[in-house]
Amino acid sequence: MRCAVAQILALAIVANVSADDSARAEHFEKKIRPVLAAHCFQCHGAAKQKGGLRLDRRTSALTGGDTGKAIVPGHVDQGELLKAVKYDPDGYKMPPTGKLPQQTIVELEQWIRDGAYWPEEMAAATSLSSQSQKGWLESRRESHWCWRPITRPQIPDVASLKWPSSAIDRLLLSKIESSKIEPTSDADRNVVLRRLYFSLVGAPPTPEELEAFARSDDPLAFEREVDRLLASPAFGEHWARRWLDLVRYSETLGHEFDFDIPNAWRYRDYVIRAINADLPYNQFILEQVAGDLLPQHRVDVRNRVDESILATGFWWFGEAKQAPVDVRAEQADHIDNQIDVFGKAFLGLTISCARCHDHKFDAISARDYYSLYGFFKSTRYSQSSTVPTARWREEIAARSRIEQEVRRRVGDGWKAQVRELPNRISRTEADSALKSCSLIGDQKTPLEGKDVRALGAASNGFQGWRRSGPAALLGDAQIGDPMLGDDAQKPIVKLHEGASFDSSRWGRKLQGALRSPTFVIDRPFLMVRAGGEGSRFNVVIENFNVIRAPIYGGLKVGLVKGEVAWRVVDLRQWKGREAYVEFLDQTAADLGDPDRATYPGDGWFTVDEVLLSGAGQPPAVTAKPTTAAGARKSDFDSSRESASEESQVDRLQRLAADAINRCRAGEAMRVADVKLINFLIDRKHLRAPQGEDGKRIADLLTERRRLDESLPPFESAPSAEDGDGRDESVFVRGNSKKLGEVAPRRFLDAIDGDKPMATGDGSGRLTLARRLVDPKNPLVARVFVNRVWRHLFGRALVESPDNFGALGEPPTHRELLDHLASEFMRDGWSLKRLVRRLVLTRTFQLSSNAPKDVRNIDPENKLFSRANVRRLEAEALRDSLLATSGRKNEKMFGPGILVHLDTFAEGRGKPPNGPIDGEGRRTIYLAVRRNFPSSLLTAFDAPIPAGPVGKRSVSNVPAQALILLNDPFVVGRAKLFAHELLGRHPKDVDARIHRMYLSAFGRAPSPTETESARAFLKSQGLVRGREQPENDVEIWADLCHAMYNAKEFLFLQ
Amino acid sequence: MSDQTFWRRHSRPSRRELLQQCGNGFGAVALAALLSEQTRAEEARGNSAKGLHFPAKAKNVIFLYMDGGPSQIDTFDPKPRLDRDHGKPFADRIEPTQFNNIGVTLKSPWKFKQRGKSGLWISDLFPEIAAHADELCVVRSMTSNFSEHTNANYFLHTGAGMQGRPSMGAWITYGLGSECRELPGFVVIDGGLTPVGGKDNFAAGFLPANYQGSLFRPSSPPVANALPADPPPVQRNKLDFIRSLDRAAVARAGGCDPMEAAIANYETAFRMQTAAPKVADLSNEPASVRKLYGLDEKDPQTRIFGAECLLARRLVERGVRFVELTCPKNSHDRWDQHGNLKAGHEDNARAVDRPIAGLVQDLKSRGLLSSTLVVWAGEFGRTPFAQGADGRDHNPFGFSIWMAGGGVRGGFAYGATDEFGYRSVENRCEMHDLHATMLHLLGVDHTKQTFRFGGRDMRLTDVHGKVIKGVIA
Repeated sequence: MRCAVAQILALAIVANVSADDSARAEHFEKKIRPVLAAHCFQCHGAAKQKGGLRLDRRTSALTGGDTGKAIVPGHVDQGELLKAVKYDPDGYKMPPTGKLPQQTIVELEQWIRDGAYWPEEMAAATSLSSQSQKGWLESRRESHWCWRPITRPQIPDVASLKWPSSAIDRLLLSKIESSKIEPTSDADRNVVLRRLYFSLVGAPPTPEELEAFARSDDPLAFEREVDRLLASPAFGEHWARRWLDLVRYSETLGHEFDFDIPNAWRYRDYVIRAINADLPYNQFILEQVAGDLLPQHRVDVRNRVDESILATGFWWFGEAKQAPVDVRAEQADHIDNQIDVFGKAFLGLTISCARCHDHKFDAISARDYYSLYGFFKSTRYSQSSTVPTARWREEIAARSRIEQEVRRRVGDGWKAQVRELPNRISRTEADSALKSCSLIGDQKTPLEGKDVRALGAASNGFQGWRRSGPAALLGDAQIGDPMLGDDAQKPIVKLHEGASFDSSRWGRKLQGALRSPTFVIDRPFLMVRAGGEGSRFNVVIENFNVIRAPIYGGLKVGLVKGEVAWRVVDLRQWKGREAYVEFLDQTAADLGDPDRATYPGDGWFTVDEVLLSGAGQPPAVTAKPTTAAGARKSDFDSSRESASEESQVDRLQRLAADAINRCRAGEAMRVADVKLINFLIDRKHLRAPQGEDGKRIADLLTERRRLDESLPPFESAPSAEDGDGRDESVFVRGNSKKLGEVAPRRFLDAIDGDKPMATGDGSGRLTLARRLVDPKNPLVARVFVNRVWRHLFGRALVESPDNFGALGEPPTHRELLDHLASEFMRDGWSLKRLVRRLVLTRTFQLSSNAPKDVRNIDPENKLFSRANVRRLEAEALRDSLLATSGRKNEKMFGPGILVHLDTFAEGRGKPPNGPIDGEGRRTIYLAVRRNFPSSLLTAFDAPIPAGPVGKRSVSNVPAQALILLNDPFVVGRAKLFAHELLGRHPKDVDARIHRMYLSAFGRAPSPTETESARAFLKSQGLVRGREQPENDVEIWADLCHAMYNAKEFLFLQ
Repeated sequence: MSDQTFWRRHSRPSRRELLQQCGNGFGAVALAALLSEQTRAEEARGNSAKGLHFPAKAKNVIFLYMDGGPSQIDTFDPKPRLDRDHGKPFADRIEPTQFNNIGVTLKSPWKFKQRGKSGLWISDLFPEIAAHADELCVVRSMTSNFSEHTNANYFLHTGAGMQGRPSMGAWITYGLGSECRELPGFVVIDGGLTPVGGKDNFAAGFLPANYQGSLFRPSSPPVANALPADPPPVQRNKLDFIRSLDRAAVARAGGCDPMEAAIANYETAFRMQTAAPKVADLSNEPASVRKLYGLDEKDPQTRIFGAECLLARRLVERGVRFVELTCPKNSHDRWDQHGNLKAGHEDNARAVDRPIAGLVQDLKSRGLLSSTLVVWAGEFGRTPFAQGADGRDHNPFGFSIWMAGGGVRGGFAYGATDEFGYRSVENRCEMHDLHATMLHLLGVDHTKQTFRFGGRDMRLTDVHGKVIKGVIA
């Protein structure tokens, strides 16, 4: 503000000085205005004001554009214009056609230095006030249907009362009737059954299932089938894949080397379990957004898995570069992708369109976008333990009990031993014991007066740091805490001499991570005093966690050789960036690190101190001994003996007895006490107790070993962990280098108002998640029921399922959509019950075959007066091939099976080749690697995991036919199919044909069809020159192969 | 496919649309007639996307993709200042680089000469291409927005530095269709090096999948699964049986458009099985042609790229709209010489020099050059200062590409970098401008060719791009 006043004053002065005005005016008109006119006015003139900038008038040139002032008279170091023409990396490069000649730039600079004389009257400045923003948003919100509350509609009256079997049917029928048509006839039973199987479990019914259904005269037979399929594990396997489309599920990061996203498959398994358990949808998305922050985590009891942690994995399926030159822009892209998923998958909104400007059509402002940005910026990537924390706490508590008992019993022994001390110890030894205890020569680091900033220290328990995994949860060791060994003859190896953080405090097999608060890199060096084996620390800049060479390799520091020492990381090139430090002792595989040998998982680390420093030298070890804490002169000063009644030996005994009492009771100890005990342990003056206590201690150590052996394996999964809460500023025109006003974290204005949220000290994601699933939010339920509808009926009520905004398709049946949404919420957000209601409608049973006039009146079947013919999705096609060939492997869950790549798939990061048949596993269990997708799945429109896909394309390309005709997987399935048929009916050709039809088409053949199949066997036998074609497995394979290529196999009626 | 148009096409596709989706091809006359009809239909639904906006100069594109980023200052952009400054600290401000291992100013190890009647400067790296200097239109002021291979590749290929957008070949085929009924409209000839970023560089993105690049190998069979699993009569009999099954199924369904489209698709696939191996069979080309393309050279990489170039010509002859060539593998890492510049660039240049010269020559003598736009480009250039001792790092701030044929001005250098060859300073061009220009030469207005997706009218050039008028003949 002061600046602006100064400027106006400056202008006034310039305007009043008239002495050289004419010369200046001439200079301006000759040298300056022509340059501006030739290079700038076209885009920044009267007709166009790109970036909100106009340069043909003094007033507007001074006001500047979106990114600030263009010209600041007298100040060549300010203003965008000079930066732009100099092609400064922080500015725009203008003019875009090429840099101006150096001479011209110098002249512009001189002109500005001289006050930017511009002979023009100052006109009243006009600027858009931010108040007007509210208005457009409100009016868009009011004018578009999707923002309105969900209301339960009246169920309309219909003329044909007998037809509908539910309210849903009546809502549809009333529209059909008003279009003067009627619903088409019901489909054949077997057609409906096949439709039901593919809709619910993504695979065809078996011949046995078909026949049982056909035979049944139970009026509730269909309903029973529905319930059976809903309860089948295959239901989750099928529906999970649709969810994975929405969260761009991938197991690799794409880009140059297609690095792994370690353990991504655990999220896939989580989704399958959640759907099979019919987890209420509001819970489902609540835990995905913020499961890590829920006060009560949801635990899958059978698998002992923390589902709430696994749920947050989806945030990390975006692509990532190996070595971005601009790490902040990389973060912006990454978060943009997260916002895109959040907006489209949960809300059916294109929020990411508001990245560079307010949304062009919807009630979403750029402020909304950056308000959300803050949540994701405040969230960190973590490979978190999948074993519930409560379980780890039990483990640690058991070890803690053992430690206490060992401590007590050893202490008892020591107490007895210390009484013997005067008989065992010489005066000289006592003297040196006292001397060594009083001095701590190499511990203290003199930092006072140095240019340093502390980020954390063990001495204050790493206050404000975040811990994840069992090794980090309770990894702090206090002064005097014992270190237990495995040898019953030396159960306490020594006591901790200083407070420290030690990831092996409760055993080396435990793993975890310790993360610092977010800090701005304001000093050139990071100093870390730490040690460890098989562990490391990373400096994570702007949340960029792919720590790899080039550029980022130096941000990973291995802690491998055990010794505690200062480590220095040069952060000069990252000055001003936000960062955090993370210490990890997880396996290389879990961390996505190629160095498998160095990080085996049973490593450990200990950290004393972390700080930022102005100097590159670690704090020097002081030569001058300092007095140890607690070493009061009266106790430890060896020179006092002469003046004292007490002998050195007696004093030692007294001090030791006192220290042992404290140790035994677990009371706070002084460093000097600890050093004294450690001295006595070293000199074997304190030893393991024998007898009863000794035996018990040996048992306790054995029990401790047994506990370690029965420890659940440390398994981890990509998940969210809270960082420090930080708001982001609006990026002007989406440019991360051009910051506008701060956008405090909150949910969308149009749904939840524009007040900042109470976010606590973390990211605030949990509050966001709760607002998201608030029943008053008009979008979440609507968007979801619409997706489910689309999966079951082949056409959605809102045909743009990921975009309910103004540019999306309007709903064909708004009342029906609201009816479904409100029923869904009232019914506990249950997917299974929603599906059940939908497939038990009359509408689901309709035939796809409709009279011509109906097709003419409603060519797109917007009225749902008939069923839609659908091509099988890629997964259903492959699963059908497996099912019919009798080689479906029902095994569930686990790491992705590598895809069989043809020789046309090449490139960096190519994985080993998988088996042709994918081990017979269902398609959802095939690995999804961004740069190496399965050619079969891709050809049949399995989506690229770039962004949310609520509606796959259904293409029709020659590659599909070529695959079905020639791909070895398909040809191989046909052979197995033939073997299966011949094995089952070795004698009966017609029975084989019958079963083949049931398997492949879900119906029995007509007599003509049986006849023509027989005819094909014969003719194919002639072509191949076979004597007995009807029993020849190769000829049968040809027949089965033909079935696979028939459209009836590929399409669902 | 777009949210809106997708459903319409599939629920109520006209026969024309169906055939177009299936076959991706027609005779030229039929295509033209249909395109105008198509355009009207698209306009009627607010999706004016396809077809010619003005007379085309070029009909086809051959895109010679120089993977890894060849150096401009060692090829088409001579800079005497570098000779003077050689070994000295770099005299201009240095932008952040990929490897951050900045050495001293490094002169070009190759001599530049003026070539042809036009006097176009070309270095000794390309003696054979240099012979066709008068056909070449070098753009010396190209820029990219990215220093990383993947983003820069996506940017060059799709106009956006991210995964998932349609490749320019897909856009062009979407706009113009194919003139070949047996082969895909967009073919990528795979020399062995898949660009960083993978097949997404050739993807159809949100466009219908039939516009995606089909990967061909310069070998027979050239396409995955194109080799019939069965001997022809066996397969034919099978196909006849399949057809009879399908006819019955469609009849039972009371007529079914998507199924009929899939049936038609089988015919295309069947034809492709014959056509693709045939077009890729180079054995009948006369010895003179083989020699011209370098098929008899000692260097195996030259032979591979020669075969790619010859195959490209054969595909263009048959009406394939857009052919992209990727580089063969050699012992260096593509054109990406972070070290060992001399040996690396020499090997890379040798692999492509004769084949490209042969291609230009052959296209010219067959009268195809005027209607075929040849584009030679990498994703970025290289730094005029060394990386380490003898390499060059990525440089997106100014580099050279060239075009030939297809209506461009031959023997001409457009735009300029600064005296170091580091930053583009005169007539600065962006990738969007290159794309706009390519579309323009093909008769398409880049601002008008759109596709509605995710709530926006998407373009190859997004909201950017201007036609580089100066390069048009």
